[in-house]
Amino acid sequence: MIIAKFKKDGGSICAEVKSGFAQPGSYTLYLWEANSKKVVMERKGNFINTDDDKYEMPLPNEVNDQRIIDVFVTLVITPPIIDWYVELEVTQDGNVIGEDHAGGQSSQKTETSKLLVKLVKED
Amino acid sequence: MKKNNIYKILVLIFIIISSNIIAQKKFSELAQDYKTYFAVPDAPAFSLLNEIPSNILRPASVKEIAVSFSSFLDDESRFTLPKSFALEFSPGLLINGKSLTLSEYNNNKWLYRFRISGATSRSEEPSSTTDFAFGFRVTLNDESDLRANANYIKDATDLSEKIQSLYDEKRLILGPTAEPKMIEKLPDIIEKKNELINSFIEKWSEEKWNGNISELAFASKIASSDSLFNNVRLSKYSLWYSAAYGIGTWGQLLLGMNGNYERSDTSNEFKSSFSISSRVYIGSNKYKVHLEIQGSIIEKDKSVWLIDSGFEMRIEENIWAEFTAGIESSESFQESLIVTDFKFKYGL
Repeated sequence: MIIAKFKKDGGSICAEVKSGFAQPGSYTLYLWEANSKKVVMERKGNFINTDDDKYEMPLPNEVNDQRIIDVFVTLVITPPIIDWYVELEVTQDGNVIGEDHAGGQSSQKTETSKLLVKLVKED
Repeated sequence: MKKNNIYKILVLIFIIISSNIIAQKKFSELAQDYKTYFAVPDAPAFSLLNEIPSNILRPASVKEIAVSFSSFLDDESRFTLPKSFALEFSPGLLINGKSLTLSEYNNNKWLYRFRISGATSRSEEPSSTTDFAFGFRVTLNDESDLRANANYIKDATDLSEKIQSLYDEKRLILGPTAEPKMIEKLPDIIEKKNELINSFIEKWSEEKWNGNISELAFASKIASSDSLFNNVRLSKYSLWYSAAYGIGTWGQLLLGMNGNYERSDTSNEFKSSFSISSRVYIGSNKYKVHLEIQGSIIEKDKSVWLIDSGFEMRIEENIWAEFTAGIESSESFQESLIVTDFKFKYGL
């Protein structure tokens, strides 16, 4: 699992979901409580517009220690371009502190993938 | 090593590399979902080298990379290594594909639809030249491009949201360890997902294979006395305009114009020619037949007619085969020549 180390006194932690190769699709982002099946935050979005795919994690930053950002993305593969690429980028103060991605070529009509980043407080 | 042997080795290496790419991409991995692949277009550079009488350059929506082989038949109609092959790619998609959003694509469609092609061919004659060609094409209009179709994008987004909801129900029960492949195997998910996809396919699968599209293309040919680019000289320039119009859901009409400026083999002088062509496709995206009529004027005083027919079919995933046969005739129809062509193409 990808680990994103954040500063407890830094700016807000942000998670952004991106899709490449101009493939349409949507996603659901869950922020899971540490070592639990409890969802702290849920966000849904799609790739028609890119302005609204960046989300701030709860404050203060400390509460996010050991929490997991879990994103399921479903793309509708639109030929003739059959490449696809999705990315979850976690940033703090403009710096990338964690990133997970998936991609390839697909012979399916749809492609669902999972992106996962664990938030860990810096010592 | 003889030039022909070098060429054969290069072609074999190319085929091996291409096969590995296909294997890595796991094309045969999943068969349950419907697949839609559009025909691989003729690259301008390929059309220039592939000395077939038809001068129409078929337009098609952009792919990242498309590869074409031709002339699998030798002079005695036996199968042999292809005499020419070509690669066409979209620099925009190759360079910026991973970060390309739908809105970026639609704001700069011309850039991502712009394609560059390169091709090479050899002759069986030991004393003949090795030919190289380079070309580009610009898409003026493409109604078959689903990414630019707001209704398609809305329907595709709706489909993905409905599939997401199926996964979400299970994720809330299973927690952050749930994997898509695990959820996909659940019987109720398979059934509901297939229903959603089939409904989407019914609406969009064959919708746009024959959409209206128009393109402008240019290519130039370089002849070299060997495969190491010695004694090169520009030997031909070609310009195409092609437009395709959909006929219902079952056909497509292609209209094309082509101008050539070519160096003579004997006198070293350039001669010009001009063609107007029309071709009709009948069938579906996967299987289709065509009929073509073309008239050409060479050096203002000689005219040549071509009538040909052929079929195109998708063999496997995005691998296509195309066969054409026809009659090329002089103005007086006193001299006629039977012409055939077999192409094998795939888009990556």
